Order: sequence, then structure tokens, then C-alpha cells
Amino acid sequence: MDRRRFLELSSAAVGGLLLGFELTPAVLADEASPKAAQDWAPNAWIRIDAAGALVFILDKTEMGQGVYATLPLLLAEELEVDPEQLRVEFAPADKKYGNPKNAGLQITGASTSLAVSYEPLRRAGAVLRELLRETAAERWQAALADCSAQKGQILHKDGRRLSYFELAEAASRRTLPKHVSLKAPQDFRLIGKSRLRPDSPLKVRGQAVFGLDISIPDLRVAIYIRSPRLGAKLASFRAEKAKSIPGVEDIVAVDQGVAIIAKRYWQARQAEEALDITWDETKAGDFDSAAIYEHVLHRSQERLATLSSEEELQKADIKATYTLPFLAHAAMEPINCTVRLSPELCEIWAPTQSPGIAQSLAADLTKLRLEQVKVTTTFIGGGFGRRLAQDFIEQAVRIAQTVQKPIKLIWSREEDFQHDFYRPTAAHALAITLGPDGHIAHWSHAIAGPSITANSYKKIVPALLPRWIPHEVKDSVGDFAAGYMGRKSRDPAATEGTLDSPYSWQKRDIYFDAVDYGVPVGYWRSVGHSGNAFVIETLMDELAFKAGIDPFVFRHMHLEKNQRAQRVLDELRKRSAWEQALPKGRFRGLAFHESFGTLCAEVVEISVSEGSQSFRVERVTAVVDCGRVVQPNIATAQISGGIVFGLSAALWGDITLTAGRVNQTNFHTYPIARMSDTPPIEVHFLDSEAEPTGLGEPGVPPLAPAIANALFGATKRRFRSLPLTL
Amino acid sequence: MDLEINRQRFAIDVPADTPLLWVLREECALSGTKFSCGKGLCGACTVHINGQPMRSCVTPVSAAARSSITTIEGAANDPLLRLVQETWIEEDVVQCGYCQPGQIMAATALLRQNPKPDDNAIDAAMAGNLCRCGTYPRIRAAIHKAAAKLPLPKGAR
Ligand code: FES
Ligand code: FES
Repeated sequence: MDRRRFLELSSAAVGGLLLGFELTPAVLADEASPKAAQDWAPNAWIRIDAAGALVFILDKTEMGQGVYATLPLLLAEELEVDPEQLRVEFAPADKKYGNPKNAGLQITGASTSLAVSYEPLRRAGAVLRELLRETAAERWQAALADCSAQKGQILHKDGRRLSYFELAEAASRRTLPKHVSLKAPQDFRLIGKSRLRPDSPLKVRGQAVFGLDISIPDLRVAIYIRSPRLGAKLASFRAEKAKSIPGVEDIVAVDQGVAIIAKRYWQARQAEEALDITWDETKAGDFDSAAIYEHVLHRSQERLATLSSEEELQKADIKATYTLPFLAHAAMEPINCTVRLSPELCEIWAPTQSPGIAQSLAADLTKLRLEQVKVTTTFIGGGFGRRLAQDFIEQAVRIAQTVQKPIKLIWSREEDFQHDFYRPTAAHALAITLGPDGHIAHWSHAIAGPSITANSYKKIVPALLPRWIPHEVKDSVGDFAAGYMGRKSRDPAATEGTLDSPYSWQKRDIYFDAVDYGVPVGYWRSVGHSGNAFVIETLMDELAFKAGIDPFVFRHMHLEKNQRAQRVLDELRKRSAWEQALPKGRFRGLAFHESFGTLCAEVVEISVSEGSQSFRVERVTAVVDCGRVVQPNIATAQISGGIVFGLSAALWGDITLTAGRVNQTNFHTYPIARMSDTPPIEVHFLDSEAEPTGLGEPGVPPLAPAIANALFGATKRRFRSLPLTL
Repeated sequence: MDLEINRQRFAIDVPADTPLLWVLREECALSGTKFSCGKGLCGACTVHINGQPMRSCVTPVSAAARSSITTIEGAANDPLLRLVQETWIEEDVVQCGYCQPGQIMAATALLRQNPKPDDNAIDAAMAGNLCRCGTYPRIRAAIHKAAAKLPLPKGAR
């Protein structure tokens, strides 16, 4: 087959794979194994083990968002057990856990966990419950209708009872019932009623095992030193002095960095100080963020000129440009990964959001079959999208391969800040025209910046292609996928929230230009929405002001057929006491945004110091429609946590580069919100019968524009860049 | 060197300038104390040394010898720490949970010294403990709630 034809074929396959076509959700009952005397796994999420425990297999990683609580609860609802009767285990990497909303890959991201699990997990519980009822009915020679399920037992109405465990062996030999019906919402016992989080006891006592806490025999610590200058290569290093430090065992070149292997972390760090490395910087980046901003801005302005005619640009009511900075994830648990290799097995323990990709990557590196790579996920000390990238898995596997010892790779905080996959910078250029009725007649919007999708596909796609495809070909398929995805409006990560904005702009022209500077970029809590909502919502406010219309009413006007959105706005107007006059020096701002299927509107109240030198966020009120709320306590925490995350970005978030090097190194140069910065936050959910939608991210986007809109009240200035400074 | 941690003796053999954090985690298998910034900037590694909250990542182990060290695992001998942990569970504070051992140690030290802290006292005592998940509102609520349960019943200490 010639290369071009091959590329076409494989990219078609890749397209299908990555876009999730023809991919079914994790299948039920794929291996009803009949070896019942031991463990029995009637479906992908539950196992009744030989000792009688009901084990729930959690296929999403727990990083604070509460899947450890909510997903078992969904199954428990239909299985008729208390969630506490389920022992939760983290799922291994396995195809059957592919996430249909994340291209069929085993990924925890894009605020999809509840949405994709809501139906399948309840159904899995119901199927098993019915099977157990049928088994009991047969054993008792009783009518099925006389057998009911409750708290892990089947009860006969005459008082006889059998535990699920007692029924497991017989049940495992039956075929699973084909048709089961799910409970009507008014019969929910568990869904919608807050319970305390089951992971709390472990976490408050210091017993939860995060990636950094993994311990296996003979484990060594590895650190991995790379040039802080992006793109620099390793030239040479001298390790004599460093090697003499007690506990230090190996100092080796691995890819473009140097790995130090020691018995203890501190020894490795001492060795780092004594290590003498020369970097080859001939191909290293030498960009400054200021120059990047200027360049993206220019690109967006050029593009805008092609989106609208000279005349349209002339008569636009608002012409505006925005620049948004790079941002870091700064999750509290530093990046880490533990690897143990043998000729037949590669074992990985990692706080990862993508165990499936980790597995493929490791198989590719070790030349082992997929089944020979065992990935165990741990509790994650904050993900926010950072742990979707699997760079650290690759490093750890390579280091273990080089030194042939079990290692735990641990990054320092400084390395985390300097080698993140940053929320990309973006420039926006817009020209907006109002119609005579105050409606937006034309929304013309050019966005330019690095493409997350292109960047990550370049890495992910090659790792997922079959083994027999040569590496060069894999790489070009990766490049092809990246190029394809980076093109106009194919990069949802750049345009989300604009092309699909619920506002009824009469005409919208939106275009994204991908520009690559060699700065690694990645998914950051709420991704493209994080910047796009800032642009749209500050402009909606400005347009409302121009049109002389109240900001709530103006948004309402542009959501005329969208009752869900109108309900959210109406509720927020009430909850935030929008009509009520504020004391001197206080101002309010509103923003609304839809992301991940969830509608979220926020009103922020700020106080501004005498002479407008500084300001403080005093209160945030949020109203959310995320469909049915499964666990109100956790849902509130997710929105409120998103608001605090948004606050850090709005007030301080700024990753800058000088000569190809990230300037921020630790929390003193990249501040995040503290207790004393955090205002009271009120979160209200609208009652809804709809299926649940995302919660991890939608709290973030409206926060920055709401603050900026409040600042307009105080300063009469519009803010077109972040972080916000007076 | 001998260390007293959670009322237990540990004989360890490390250079005197090794940070206490790594001694706890790697020599004593007490991994509840967390590493995050390594520079005294985030509070994740907070432990008590003679009842005082200290950043173990910047405390050389030699400075903690001949002292009484309490970590997040030490609740069996510290009723106040246990009470704070229980209140944390009741208030559903945790998200990812990574910062929480440090938050709880800081809050316990605050309550020991000021059993009825107001919001300003809480802000001041907790300012050095970062939480990227943004659990601050519930941490504040949990501290107030724990304070309301004080003093501890007689006999507890
Ligand atoms: S790890 Fe010690 S203060 Fe951050
Ligand atoms: S709970 Fe995640 S950092 Fe605090």
C-alpha cells in the first residue's frame, strides 16, 4: 500500500476512534464468568468476591470530584444495597471502561463521569438485582413477585431471606435478564439525597493512598532533570560528585534529561545540586510571552479583517481585542508515577486521568502486549486536566527501563510549574453590531492561539495505533491528526462556548487560527470555556450597557427560546437580590455560561477601596441547572470549588515566559486563592428531571467575567485581559 | 537519632539536615503528611512539634529531635485532633483530600490555642494552608463547628 493511501485509511480510522463513532459504552455482562465458587463479576463494575464482599469497580478516577461517592451510589440505588455495603476498588486500565464521551478512551475528564454513568450503572445494578431475585425465586420454588430485594438480601414475603452472597454461585450460572426497568425518580432512595462522602475518613486520617504514597518492595526514588528552557536538549553531564552522595545509585541520561535514582528523595535532590549538566540550546525556544501575545493578537486581527467586510467593521458597535495568559494547573499533589518492570509485565501505579492511554503508551515503549501492562490508579491529589497528559508515565517507564529497578518518579513543585501543559494563551478580535431592536445582529469573532487538540493528538494518536505500524508512520499520522484537528472550528477546545453559544446572535462568524510556539498546552479546568466565557460575557455586559438595557434583561432577550437558561437567570436575579441597592464602594457583576451541558450563572459582589486602588470579591451567588442533582453536597462543593479555582485565575493567574523559559516556580510566584481571599459562596440548583450533566468545570467560566463586569461599575473601564488588575 | 512521633519512638539514621517531612514519609512509613511545594509555601506538610504547627518540609530533622511530634496519624493520642477529623467528616470538607492533613493539623493547633476563633483568627491561622480544590468555605464551617464542641469532656486530653 502506498504511503498516502495508508495515511488516508489510518487517519479515517483514527478519526473514527477519536471522535467516538461506532464505539459503544462499556458493555454490560461481557464476561459473566461461571467460576462462581470464587469471585463472580456479573458485569464490568461489580464483583462478588469469594469472601462475600460486594466490590464496586470504579472506572473513573477520584480526584476530588466525588465519583468515589456518586458512581457506587447509582449502582446501589438499583441493586438495593446501601452504598456503604459496597467496597470501592479502582478499575484497572481496560477497554471495557472506555468513556463514550471521551472518544471511547478510558479518560476521566470533560465533566462527563456522571453523565456517562447515570444510565449504565443503574442498569447494571438492576440487571443484577433481577438475576438474584430470579435465582431466589427458583430456589424457593416461589413466585417472582413474592421475592423482593433489600439491603443486600432477597426477601420472601413469608419472611425467608437469602443474602446476595448466598445466591451468587447459583446466579452466576443463569443468563442475565434481558429486560429490566429502572426506578421512577419518585422511588429513588439514594439519588438526590446527600450522604457523607465515603472517602472522607481515609482522607482526614492520612490513610488515603495517593500516587505519591505508593510503596512496593525495593522501590527507589527517581527524579528527572530537564532544562527549564523549553525544547533544550541534553548535551552532556558530569556526575562524579553527585554519585558520591550516600544513597545515590544511578545517574543516567534518559531522553532529553538526566534521571537520578536514589534510595531516598532528599538524597536525589542533594545529588541534583551536585550535578553538572550542559544543555544543547541550539533548537530551544527563545520566545517571550509578551512577543507571543503580540503575535497572536496580530493573527486574530488579520483574521477578523477577513471575516467581515470593511463596511461591516466600520459600522460595528463594538470592536475589541482581548489577550488571555497561559495558566498552570498547580494541583497540590506533585506529578509522580511508580513503575515496576519485568520481562513479562509492566506495572504502573499512577495518579492519572487517562489509565487507558497510559497503558497504550507503556505497551508501546516496552514492546509488551496491552494485557501485560497493568495500570493501577490511585487517589489523585487534584487533576484539573493536568493528569490527562501522560508525559510523566512515559518518563517513569523509560527511567525504569534504563535502570531496571522499580522506581517512583517524583517531580518537585518547581518542575510542575516549569513543565506543565499550560492553558494556552489566546487572542480574540471581535466586531459586534447591534440591530435596531437592541438585538445582536452580527457577532464576528476571530480567535488565535496554540491548539490543545492538535498538541495532544500529536502524542495520543501514535500511541493508540496498532503495534505493526512503523514509528515514522505513526508519527505522521499523529501530525496529520494534529493538523486536521487544529484547523478552523475543528478544535472544539478552542472554540467551545462560541460556535455553540446559546445566545441568539442573528449572524455569527467565528474562526480559530492555531499557532504553535512550542509551549506545551493542555486541558485546564473548563478548557476553552475558561477564556471564551470571559470574552463573551464581558461583551454581553458592554453591549447591554450600550443598548441601555439591564444586563439580565439583555441576556434574556438573547435566550428567548431557551427556557432553561431563562429560569437560571430569573432565579439568580432573585437569589442575588439584584434590585437591592448596595452600600457605597460595593458593586455587582453578572455572567452566565453554558458548558459541559450545564448552565451556570454567577453574580459577584466586590468592594473597591477609596480611590479604586484595589478591590476584593465579597460574595458570590451561583445558580446552576445541571439536570438531576445526584449528591447535592458534592455538587455544591464542585461549583464552589470551581469558583475558587476561577478566582485564583481571575486575580493572579499568569504564566509568563522569558527566553523560552517559564518564570513562575512555586506558589510565591504563582499565587492561588487562600482562605482569606475566599468570599462566602452560595450555590443554588434548579430542580430538574433531566439527566445529570457536568459539574466539575461549569463553575469556573462565569467567575472572571462577573468580576470584570462588577469592576466596570466601579471604574467605568472595560477589562480586556486577565488577570484583572486595577 | 531518636524521634518521638505520635508517642512512639523511632530510631533513625539520616543526615541532620534531612527535612522532617521525608523522614516521616520514607523512614517512618507515615505517609499521611504530604509533600507539595517543598518550600514552606503551602502547608500540606504541617505537623505539630511540641504542639506548634510546623512546616515539616523546611524543618531539618535535627530540629525535631528531643521534641514531641504529632502527625495526622496521631489522633489516637490526641482527642482534639480526633474531634477535628470527625468534624471534617461531618461537614463533608474534603475534595481531593491532598491538602487536608495539613489543613487539619493547622486547624487543630489553632483550636488548641484559641478554642473560640472568630473569622479573622481563622483567616490568620489558616492563611498558609493552600487548597487548590477550594474547600475553604467548608474548612471555615468545620472549624466553627469543632469550636462549638469544645471544651473536650473531662478526662480527654
Ligand atoms: S510542602 Fe511544606 S509547606 Fe508546602
Ligand atoms: S482538597 Fe484538594 S487540595 Fe484541598
